[in-house]
Amino acid sequence: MTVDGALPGVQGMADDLVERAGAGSVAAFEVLVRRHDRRMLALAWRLTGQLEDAQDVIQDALARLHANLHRFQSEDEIGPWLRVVTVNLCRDLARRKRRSPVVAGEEWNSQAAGEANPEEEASGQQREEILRSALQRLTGKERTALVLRELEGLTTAEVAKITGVAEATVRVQILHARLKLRKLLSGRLGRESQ
Amino acid sequence: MSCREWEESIALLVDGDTAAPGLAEHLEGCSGCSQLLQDLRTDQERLQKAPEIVSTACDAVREAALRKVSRRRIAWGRWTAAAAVAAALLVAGIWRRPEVPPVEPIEVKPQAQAPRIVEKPAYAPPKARRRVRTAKATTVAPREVDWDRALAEWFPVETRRERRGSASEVAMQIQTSDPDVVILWLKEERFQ
Repeated sequence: MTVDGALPGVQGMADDLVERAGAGSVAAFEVLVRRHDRRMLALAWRLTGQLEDAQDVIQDALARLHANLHRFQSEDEIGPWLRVVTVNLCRDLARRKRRSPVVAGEEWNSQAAGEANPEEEASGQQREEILRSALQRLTGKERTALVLRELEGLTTAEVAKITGVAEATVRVQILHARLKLRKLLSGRLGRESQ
Repeated sequence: MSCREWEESIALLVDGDTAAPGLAEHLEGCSGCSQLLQDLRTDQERLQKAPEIVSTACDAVREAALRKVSRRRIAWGRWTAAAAVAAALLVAGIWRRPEVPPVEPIEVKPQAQAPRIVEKPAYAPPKARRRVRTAKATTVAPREVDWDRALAEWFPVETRRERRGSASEVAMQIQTSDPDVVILWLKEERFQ
């Protein structure tokens, strides 16, 4: 057994996969991609709010992964690296698109129009859409911190390392994001603004 | 404390912090804050659950990424092949280059014995014109002059010996107010 509990043979196969992918094996690279693409797509979808944008981001991230395969000694390093690249690409995309929170708010209000509490009657898929829409009304930093914390299950220190801010700042961002999101989801924000 | 002031403590509790002093008692007696705590935990569960992604969306991303990688590999392969061919041609060219016979060193004669080649003094039209303007210049037809003496002043001996042609190549002679200064206008001639 290795230190992290993985069987030596399995770990060796994973490292061999990285080595073969780095040597130019498209099949080995595809296996690596299959292990990470769904998770990274979910992260990008939550961060961008649009599936098409998330797909573009992950395509770019995977192409960068292929170009940087020589850097990795084992497959364990790939997941965190892809996560950082995905977060950065989502942030860059948001900067390029210059999405206005007012526009996002209009979309949100149009969905919730005429409903006292829109999430109560929504189905699972609709709840997810409402959640994504509400996440887009948070600031980019709040959204990134909250999604990394909850969806990726990272600690405050890990989130701080990825986003490049102090841990205390991350704690405040997550705190505000939780409360703001709750108000958005319960429809309270709409009533308060009237 | 009001309920609004407890909100941050409740959110921190959801985030995994220990409960602030007095929060537990407040939650027991406040249904609104208890509901907030429950809602925040429900939101947390929803956030922790990854969105359902249809397989086609995931497949599209994977295929597009693999296509991009394959195109890059093909392009890279073409560049590599082109570079290999260029390198092979270069190496072949170097190896097949005709051998050049070794050049024997040329014995350099001492500079004192070598013929000196002195360039013609550069003609300075503005200065000459100013002098001519103040002088009483007359244009005369070419006439017999002491060319040995004139050439000796203008050219070094070695150069004068190599000079070809006759002395009839003087186009104009200009006398200035200074009797020691005579301006000769010579026809241009190439030395061979």
